[in-house]
Amino acid sequence: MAGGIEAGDALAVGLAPASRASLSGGRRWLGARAGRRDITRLLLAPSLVLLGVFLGIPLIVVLVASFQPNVLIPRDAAGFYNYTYLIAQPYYAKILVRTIWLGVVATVATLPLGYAAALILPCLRGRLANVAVMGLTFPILAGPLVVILGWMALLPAHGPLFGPLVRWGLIAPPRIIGTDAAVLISLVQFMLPFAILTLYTTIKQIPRELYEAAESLGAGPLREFRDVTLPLSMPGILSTSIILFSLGASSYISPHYLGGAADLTLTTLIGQFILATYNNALASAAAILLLIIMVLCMVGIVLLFRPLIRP
Amino acid sequence: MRRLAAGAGWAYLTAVYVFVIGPLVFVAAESFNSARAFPAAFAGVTFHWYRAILAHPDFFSAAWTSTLIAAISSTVATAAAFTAGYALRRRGGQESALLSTLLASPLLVPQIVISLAMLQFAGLFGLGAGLLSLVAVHTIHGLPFALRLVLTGFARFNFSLEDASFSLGAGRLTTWREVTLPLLRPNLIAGFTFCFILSFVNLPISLFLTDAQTTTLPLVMFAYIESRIDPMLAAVATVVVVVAGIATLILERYLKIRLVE
Amino acid sequence: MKKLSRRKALKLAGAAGASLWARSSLAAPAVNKGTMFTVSVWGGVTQEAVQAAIGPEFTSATGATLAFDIGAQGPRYSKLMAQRAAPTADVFFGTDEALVAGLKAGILAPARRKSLSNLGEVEDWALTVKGPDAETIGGVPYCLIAYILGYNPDQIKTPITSWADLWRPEFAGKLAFASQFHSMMPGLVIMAAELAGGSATNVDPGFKKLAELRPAKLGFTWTDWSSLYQSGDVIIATEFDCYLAVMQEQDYKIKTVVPKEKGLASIDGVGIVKGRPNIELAEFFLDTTIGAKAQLGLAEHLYHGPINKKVQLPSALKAKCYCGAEIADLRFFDPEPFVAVRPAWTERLTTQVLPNWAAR
Repeated sequence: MAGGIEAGDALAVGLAPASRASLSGGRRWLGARAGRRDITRLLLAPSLVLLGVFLGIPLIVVLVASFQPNVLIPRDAAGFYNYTYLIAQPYYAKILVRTIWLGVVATVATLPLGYAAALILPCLRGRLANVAVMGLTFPILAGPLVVILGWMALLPAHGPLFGPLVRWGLIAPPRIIGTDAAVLISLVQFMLPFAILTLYTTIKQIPRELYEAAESLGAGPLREFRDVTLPLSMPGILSTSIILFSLGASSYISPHYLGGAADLTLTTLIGQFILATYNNALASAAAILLLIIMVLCMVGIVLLFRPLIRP
Repeated sequence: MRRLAAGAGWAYLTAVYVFVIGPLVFVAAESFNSARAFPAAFAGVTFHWYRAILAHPDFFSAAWTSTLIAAISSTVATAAAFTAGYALRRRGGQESALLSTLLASPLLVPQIVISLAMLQFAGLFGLGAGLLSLVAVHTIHGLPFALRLVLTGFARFNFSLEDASFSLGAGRLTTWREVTLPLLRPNLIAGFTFCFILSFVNLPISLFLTDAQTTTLPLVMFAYIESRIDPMLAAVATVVVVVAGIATLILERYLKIRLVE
Repeated sequence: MKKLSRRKALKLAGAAGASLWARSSLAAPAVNKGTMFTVSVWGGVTQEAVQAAIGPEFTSATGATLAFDIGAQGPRYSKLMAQRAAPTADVFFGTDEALVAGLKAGILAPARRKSLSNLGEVEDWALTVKGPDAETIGGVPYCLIAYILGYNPDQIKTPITSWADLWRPEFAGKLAFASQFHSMMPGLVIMAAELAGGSATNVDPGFKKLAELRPAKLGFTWTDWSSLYQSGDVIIATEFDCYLAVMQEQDYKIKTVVPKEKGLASIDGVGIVKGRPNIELAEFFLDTTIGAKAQLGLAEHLYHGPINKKVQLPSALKAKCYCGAEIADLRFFDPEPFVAVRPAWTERLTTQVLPNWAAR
């Protein structure tokens, strides 16, 4: 999660104003800031209350449920048996790995594609830029369900996209539907607008003066990118990675409709426990396991970015 | 050389757009298909499927409910994200590591689990499925996304500007109105848009929280798909996109709200 | 005037009261106009069918209007479980297995037989949901659908006659089969077991046999695999007859066949949700649903087989509703044992069979 980066970044940011203040002889500001500090802390309340009430308490409900006996594992008392059962199944471990892998691959694929597009988009001006960015959101608004129906029509080996190519003998019938490739294609298509939007917002906020300064120092476009754009867009890249990863790892409709006959993800597995066998206990245990793994992944992403982000 | 790079850039951007919007264009084209199945080979042009939507009033009420839920939850989520982002970035210090993880927690729990847990939780208080529960889960679902975008903006935000404003005698609210919010406007609008879109199309988190009076468009479409697929669904999706386009134009022209500056 | 003896007067009063009561228990319970009666049902065409076939009769007789809580059976059942202290739906549409499970779990309530005037017209094979005693019934059936085979006659020249044909090597990777949590799955496990020399009580061979299948797509409903069928990636599928009829209506090139070992019958029904205020109203809804008029309407909308003996379907509709599967060609399962074995069997399918299906 953003845990690591917050500490590092906050340290940098926290130090900077203080040092700036002392540089400008702003010791007089410290008194003013002390009073404001309490109000600032209070500002966290709305979010924390919302989450505490509407997520925290339900999560406690889930946690309690995860220790309960159920029809598959009948026991007399609460215990960790649901967890040991899930971990002991090699197929479930495989599903867990696959879920994370889907999220990672989709993120790694989407990020550079989105970044490149976000670099080029600022060349558009005014209304065209607005239309272009809004246009990206439309396929999402149409709803993942309908778009995936579209992919289900476009991707089969003998469908409208590849069918003509196969008929003319240009390619062998490609097996895409029913494999991870189809899932990834639809995931990337779904995630690209989010990536582009976030990165575009970040890149646009890089002050133009920095580019002018770099040019005046004789830097070419490649150098500018490496020394100005890339470092300053790192916070945006981090945010995008976290957003994309959570979207990819939690996707339900893509793997269900386009994925392999039997290739479950953890989300479909949990859905199966809840909706088909009404096994709330095992579903809760699987959800808590997923939560733990996701926290670790988030921490991993943040630690990865920590050395790359400078204030 | 520069021309070549520029040309490659435009070609790439076009390819990206074709990839992202292509399936939607295909779906929209199919919505005019007079064939009865979806997908099907093109048999002829018809508006029949658009007329068919009129015979399904539940699509309209569900679309309206979805819009309402999305609007309310996105507003609350973005406002909460702004205050949280401000608090995180303004001070710094030891707590922020834990807090940031906490504030992103909805991303880490499967949405279907959140939905069921919310139903059980609401049941404890005599509430149940319905608009309030739906807005609640949609808000917490959108909060991390809005927060991520707001934090990106705060990363580039120079807090000395706020200090300067305070030193000139402005209160915090005035400072926010004149200094902070305008500078963060792109991030806030982007955050709101994210939340709105994600809420409008969301299925799993609403799964257990709808009732006879309150249901969302994705749910109605998913229920429809269980027994029928026909081009009417494509027509519904196309109508949603067209309405969104018109709404964006109105927002831009009359309220001067743009997604990009 | 002869004075009535007290005993006789009481007897007369009792008889009069009893006859009045008997009549009123079969007459429609009246409620305030505009009262909502919430039906938990599948969405889409099913909801429309219930509204069209049952709605008018119900509303004109009772004054209550129908409201619909729609969704797949899974979410709707889970909602009932989570809201058992204060349920919001009055009646619940589900498979007979779900009705049995709901009665066991205490979220559904049985209906009194004497409140269901049309019960005598219901086919015996449809009454699969028993009540706790002889006076009651657990829920009423509302349709019969049959799980059979559909295939592409242009792509498949050798005739399909048996469930065993699904294992033919030329269908590997081109078959759409039921997903592991499909409602017919326990029946399919038994079918596979019997093909492999086992039986309903010895199902291990069934799981082994299922693991040998090579499905291209697992379907929870026909729309999961229909676009693959359209493109030719799937050429044979297992599916309900009503959906196969819809596909034929939508110009899919698909032919239906009832396997020689018999198709699998599925009875869907309606049950009363426990804890709601007006049991009589719910019983009247059930009674209306099994009535001949509603049954005909449902058949017209959904191509489901009616469960009322008195319903005569016109031959064109009959062809759609049965797709060649007459009652004698169908195998009926008792839902009670399925409630007990489904969790364990689904788990076995997920952990033992699915990995084989995923391997290519």
